Order: sequence, then structure tokens, then C-alpha cells
Amino acid sequence: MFIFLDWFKSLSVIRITNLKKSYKYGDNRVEVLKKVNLEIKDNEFVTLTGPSGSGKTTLLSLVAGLDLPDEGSIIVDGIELTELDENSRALWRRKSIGYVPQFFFLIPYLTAVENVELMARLAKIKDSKSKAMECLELVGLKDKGNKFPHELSGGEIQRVAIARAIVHDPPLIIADEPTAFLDSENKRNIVDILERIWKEGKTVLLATHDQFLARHRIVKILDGKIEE
Amino acid sequence: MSSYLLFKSLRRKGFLLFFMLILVISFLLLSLNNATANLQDFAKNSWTNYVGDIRIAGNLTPSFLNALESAPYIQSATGLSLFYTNVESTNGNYSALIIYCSNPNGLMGYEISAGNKDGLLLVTSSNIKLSIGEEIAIKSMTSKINAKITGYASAFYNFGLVDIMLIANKSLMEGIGKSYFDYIFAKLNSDKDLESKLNNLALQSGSKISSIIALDPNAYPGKEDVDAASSVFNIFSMIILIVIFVALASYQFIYLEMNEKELYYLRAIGFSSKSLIATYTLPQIFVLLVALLLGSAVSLPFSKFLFDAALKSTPITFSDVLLNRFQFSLKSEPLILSNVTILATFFITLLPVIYYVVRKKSELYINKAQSFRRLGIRFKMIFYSSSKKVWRHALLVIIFALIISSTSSVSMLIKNWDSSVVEYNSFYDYFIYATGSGSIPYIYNASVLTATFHLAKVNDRSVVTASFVELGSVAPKLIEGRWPSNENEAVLSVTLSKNLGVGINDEVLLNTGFRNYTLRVVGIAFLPLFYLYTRETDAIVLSYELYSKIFTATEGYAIFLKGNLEQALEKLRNNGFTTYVRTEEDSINIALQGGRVAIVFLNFLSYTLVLSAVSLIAIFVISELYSRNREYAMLMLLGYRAREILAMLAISLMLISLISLPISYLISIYLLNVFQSEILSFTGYFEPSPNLIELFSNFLYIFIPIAVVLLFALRYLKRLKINETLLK
Repeated sequence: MFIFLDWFKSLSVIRITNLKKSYKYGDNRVEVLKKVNLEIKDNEFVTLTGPSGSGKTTLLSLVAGLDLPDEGSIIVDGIELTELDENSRALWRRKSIGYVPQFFFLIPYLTAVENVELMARLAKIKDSKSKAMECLELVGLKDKGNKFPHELSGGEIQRVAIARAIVHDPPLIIADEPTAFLDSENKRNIVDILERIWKEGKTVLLATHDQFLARHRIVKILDGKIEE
Repeated sequence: MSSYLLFKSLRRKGFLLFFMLILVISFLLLSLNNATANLQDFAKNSWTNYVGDIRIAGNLTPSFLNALESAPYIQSATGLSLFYTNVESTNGNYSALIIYCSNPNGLMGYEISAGNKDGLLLVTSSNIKLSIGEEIAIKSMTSKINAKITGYASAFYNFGLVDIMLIANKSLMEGIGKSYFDYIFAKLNSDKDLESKLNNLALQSGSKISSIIALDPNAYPGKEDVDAASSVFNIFSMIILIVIFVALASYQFIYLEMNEKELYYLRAIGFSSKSLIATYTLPQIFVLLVALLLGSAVSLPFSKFLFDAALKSTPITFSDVLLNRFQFSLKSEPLILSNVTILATFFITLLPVIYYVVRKKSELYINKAQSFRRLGIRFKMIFYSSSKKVWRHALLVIIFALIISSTSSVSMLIKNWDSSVVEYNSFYDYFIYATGSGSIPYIYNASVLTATFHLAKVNDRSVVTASFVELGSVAPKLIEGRWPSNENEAVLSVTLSKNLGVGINDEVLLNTGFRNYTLRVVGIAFLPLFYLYTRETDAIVLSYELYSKIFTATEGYAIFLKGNLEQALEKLRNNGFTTYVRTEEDSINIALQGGRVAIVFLNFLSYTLVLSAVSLIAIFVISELYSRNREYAMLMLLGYRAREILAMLAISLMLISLISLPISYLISIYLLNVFQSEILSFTGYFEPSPNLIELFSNFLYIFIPIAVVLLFALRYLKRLKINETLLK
């Protein structure tokens, strides 16, 4: 029985237990996550939905090790993130996750391919340039590699961000509302790309407040609580 | 619409920084300019009020002085009797000058600081200190008389070098055997036919006038030192001006970047260019004016501090007699000059920003990064880590270059001047100042010189006038030509030659107030003949015939000697001379000590520059850190550690400082010459040469601001909340 349980646990890429997080706004402390429990298995596509302010971004940032919870445990790929210091979490992040942010965060003085290559170099991937080009090709931007961010459209920038998130071959892709500032067609394109990546064996955790984009396992979050 | 925003916009970010910047700038600039104005005023007017308009030398009777005092063309007059002698005290024998002053409260007067004038008053600036009540034996004209020190007095007497100066009362002076005046100083009501009037009066009163010299109000003892302090303050002001320009220009761009979004929104809701400029500039002008007002108000005490420090650093002790008669004040000229300079700099730096606001209407919010496609990713990451904009890199290079070149040229200058003082004084072993009325004996291996300080002008420039009584092999270095052999010839010091732009075979006009002499320049020499006989300065050497015709009364002889000191001193003593001796090394040290005023302030300047560099570099890098916090958060999200970002920043700043090094070298060559010409009247001429070791050691200074900035950046990056920053 115990052996079976251990095997079952190992299937979970992310295991979140009793997670609490609050922020101080002025004199008030607002509880953003209230005792959240969630398990995500290997090669699962999870869509986290919920209105603005429900706690989606906070939950993703804790899973990505960008911040620490007030209480609770986050085990990602067998590692308890709450026990790691800032430096160790940075080193873990560069190997284990690909993060697609909500806004268009590319380094403005690097071209599209250089933005992707930067991540590959950071993760010490060999032949980083050709790997970066491969990833751009995968997101349909083969011809735009030498463009600077200000020469690209919003949809294209977000696709570069996805290429950057997968170039070092991380097991987990976290996408925090990557479609927030895009038109419907671009929104679908981005989620399609993420789905394609998932099909290649990655675990994808996507946050969105657009219901029509939600796919596969849908987890709703409302007022800091999970409603599945 | 814009008036509604005017005061509300004072809530904008960056005004506190601007306020502090202007406050510090206005405070520093006005303090320096006002201290300089007061120094010049003090030196010139205090001296003129103290000595009057003319000096009459000779054997002058008390009845001549009385007649002068009642003459309509004389406003006031004071007679001085001088007696050079040796005195014996319980501690030893000293060379001394005993002075009787006919009017302590008038021209050339003195102030008693302790005790009374029943006996002798010791002048406080004397080299030897004697205590009140001490009995001394004075070798008078006929015998030895005993007298007591009964007090101390401050006076500003420069009548040659002796160990102690004593002020005697009338009966004591008569007891010594001196009943006539050597000098009468007078303030004139009119100088019409003065020479003949004075000669007639002298004839009637049984006096013999040997010379009448008009005292130049622009030439006074310590002029070089006051000029040096003023010049150093001027150099300060020049560099502060550069810092002001860079600081204000940097601030304008930073302020624009900080408020670019707001301007975009205001334009979007319908603000015209005129209204935009008003909301952008008027709050700045308001803050500027408040800061200028406050800066001006708080500058007075610091200005007084600089004034006192400058006077304390001079080798000449300005007597309390002068200081007590001077009123330090905030002068209108520096007040206007400083504030107008800052305002003008502000408006100049504002112009490109206004142009940007008006012209780049639609592009205001599109913040395109300048970048190079072909450069490597690693290079780009390092290059852009200190700044995303190339103009900022260029400005940082300029700031670094200005700081390194200013500090290094100051230390190069000090080094060069130190070695020049050694060079100018290398021609003798001992310097003897001999006072006495006998004829000077022949001394083997020595040159004997007599000189007056700033009693004549050459081509309207006040000079030291000197002549060799005896010219031996021990002589100052002639770099061109020969020494004068007749009354129509002269030798100029290198400094005077450079200052006047006059060379060999040119003619110069020597003026003593009442008479002119046209002289041909026959030689140029290094003449360290300034007051303490150690520094190269504006000096002219005349033939002895001409010199004795112009300045009959001599105050003493300067003897430059190589070889046996005791033998020389014995000869002088046997001929009734009182002597004061200094080795070549002492002379050099005194000259270098005299340079304290320059060194203290130039070093202070270096520290100020390093502090300015810290502020400017900190403003640059920290504003960059703040404005790019999301980019740093993004890098950290990808897995960069704070120390890795910091390493890129450090390498970037090091590269910039390295690039600035050759530029610093070029600027320092230029600054070296500018600074040298500024302090020429003080130090005398010398060849300033750039020195790579000084450049490198000053280059290391730049790591102080870099280290400060990096420490702050590390703290900032470590505290950066990735999630909150990215979502802002």
C-alpha cells in the first residue's frame, strides 16, 4: 500500500499543500491564497482560470519560485521550494522551468534570436544559437530572428517569449496569462503552440481569464481558493 | 489646464533630488565666489588703509613729521624708527628689530594684545617667543641697555628677516640713541608737485629724504598668497561649473525619462506643446528658485570658513590689526554671478529637453533602445548593463575623464611645482639675511643681493626689484643672456618675462610712482626672489647704480653662500651686521610650506571631485536601476542571480572607466596648463609635464564611486521582488 502511494506521488510534477500567501496593501493585509492544495501530474496540461485578483499570478509565481509562501509546501519535481534560498531557486529556475510572462518582457537591446539564445546560454546548452533558431522556427518566427523587440508585433513578441521558455528543454512550462494583450486570433495561436509543446511531453500550467481558451484539465481559482 | 497642474505636479518624482542638487551647487559656488571676493577685498583695502599712499625714506626729523601732519596735501602720516640689533635673553642671543611707531592707531599702527607699553612689546608674528616680564639686554648705538618685555602686540611690519621684532616707546627709543624716523607713511589729499613740496619741507626741518615711493594698492605683502587662494577658488569654481553642467544635463534627461509617460498622457488628453512645456518646466523653475534662495542663505558661514582657512594657510600671518579692521560680508557681485551662472546653465540644459518635448510629439512614449545588431550577445549584455542608451555611456565616459583628469592634473601640478622649487634653490647652500648700516664685507663664494618688494612696476605689473651688490659664481640660473652691466639694462625673471610676453632685447618701462625708466632686457633668469627668497616670481634685476639711485635706503642684504658659513658670519658680525641664517633645505621647506594654501585647497578639490563623481555616477546608475527594474526582474525570473547582474554592471563600468583613461590624459595636459597659468603669480613659472604614474594613481580614485554604486546596486537587486516588479 505505502509503496503504491510513493509511486503515485512520484507521478506528480507539482504538489502544493496548504499554501497560504498574503500581501500588505497600506495598513491592510490581504490574504491572496487561502490554504490552496493542488497536484499536477507529469505531462499534464492544466488551465488555471479565474477573474482578475483571484490569485492566479500569485500561485504561479510561487510555483516558479519567484516568491515564498507564508505557510504550506510546494514540491516541484521532487524539490521542496520553500527550503531553497534565493540563489538556489534562481539556479533551479534556469534548469527546471520555462516561464512565459503576462507582459511582453524581452530584453530590448537583444534581437529575437538573442533573447532566446540568452536563456540557452544561461542554462549552458551547447550550440545555443542553432537551438534558439530551432525554437523560433517551432513558434513560426524563423524569419524574424534578427528583429529587435520594438520591430515585432505583440503576438510575435509573446511567441519569442514562448521560444525562450522552451529553449533549455525544461520539464515544466508556466504561462501567466500570455494572451492578455492579444487579439482573438493571436490568443488561439499562442495556446495552440503551448498545446503542441505539451504534446511533445512537457507539463504546461497556463493561467488565463478567457474561458474560451481553457483546455484539458481546468482548475478554477476564486478568492484564493481552488474550485475544481 | 496647465495652471491646475502646476503645484500638483510638484508631487512628481525627482524634485527632491533636483532641490538637493541645486542647493549643494548654489551653496558651493557662492561660498567659493564670496570667499574669493572677500579675500581680494581684504588683501587690497586692508593693506591700502594700513600703509597709506606714499612711503618717504631717509633721515627724517620729528619736526618734519609735525610739518607733514599739518600740511594741507597730507591727510595723515606716521613715522617709524627702525633699529636693527642683537638682543640677549636668558634663553639666548637673537637678531632683533626695534621699532618705534609715532601713532599706534594710525597708518602702520599696532594693537596691544596683552600687557602694556611701559617697556617693550613683542610683535606676535616674531619667530622667537619671549614671555612678559622677561628682561633682555639690547646692544644700543653706544652701549648695552636693559629692558623688560611688558606686553604683546600685533602689527604688520615687513622690514627684513629677524628673529624678533620689538615695539619700543619713545623714551626707550631715545635711550637706544635713535631720535629720527627712517620712514614716514602718509595718506595724501593731493599729489600735485609732491616731490618738490616734500623736499622743501625736509630742507626746512633738517631732514634728508632718500626716496619717495608711491605705494601700489594692487601690490601688497601676501598678494601672491591671496592670489593663490583666489586662483585655487577660481579653479574650484571652473570645475564646479563643469560638474554643474553635467549634473543638470543628466538630471534633465533622467527627469524626462521619469515623466515621459505623464507627458504622453497629457498630450493624449489634449495638452498643447506650450502647456506641456509649462507643466514640465515651471515646477522645476519654482524648485530651482527656492533652492537658490536657501543655498545663498546658508553659504555665508561656509564662505567665512573658507576665507579664514585660506588666510590661515598662507605663509604670511595677516596681523589682527588688519583682520580687526575688516568686515566680512556677503558681496553682491559673487551673489549675482553665482546665481546667474546656475540659472543660465539650467536654461541651457533645458533647451534640448524642450526641443524633445515639442518635436517628438507622437514618439514621446516609444522608448526605442539603441542597439547594434552585429555585436555579440555577451558583449551587449555587459555593455548595456550600466545603461541602455549610448549617450549615457558617452556622458559617463566624459564624467570619468573629467574627474580623473582634474584630480590627476592637480597632483601632477603639485609634483611639478615641488621639483621646481628644489631646482630654483639649488644654487646655494646657505641663505643669510644681514641687516646693518656698515659696508658689506667681501665673502668668498657668495653673491649679495638687495631687493624691495612691490615698490615698483614693470609695464604696469608690480614686481620685486633686486640688484646684486656683489655677483659671484653663486648666482641664480641665467637661462638666456647676461646680467645687467649699466643703468639702462635689466634681467627679468622667467615668470615676469612670460607674464609680460617680453624677451631679450625688448624694452620695458620701470615705474616707481613718480619716475619712469626705460630699460633693455639683456637676460632671463630663474629668480627665486619673492619675499622669503625661495620662489620664482615677477622680478627684475637692475644694475646696482640704477638700483641705489631709485631705492637708497636698503632694508638688508640677501647673501647666497656656498661653503664656509661660520667664516661668512664672523665677517658680517665684525662689520656690525645682524644675521639670520637659513639652509637651502630650510628655504625649500618654507617655499613648499607656502604652497600649503594651494595644496590644501587643491587636495580638498580632489575630494570634492571624487564626491561629485560618486553623486553623478550614483545618479546615473541608480536611475538606470530604478527605470530598468522590470528588466532585471525578468533576468532574475529566467534564473540570473543578483551577483551575476552585478558582475555585468561592474565590468561595464570598468570598461567605461578604461575608455575614459586616454581621454583623461589628453584633458589633463590641457588642464595642467590652465591651472598652471592660474597659479603662476603664486608659484612662479615652471614647466608642467604630464605624468602617467599620477594619472594611474588618480584613476584608482574612480573605483571609490564605482564600489559605492555597486554596493547599492547589490542591495537593491537582492531586495528586488520579481513578481511584484514584473506586474507593476
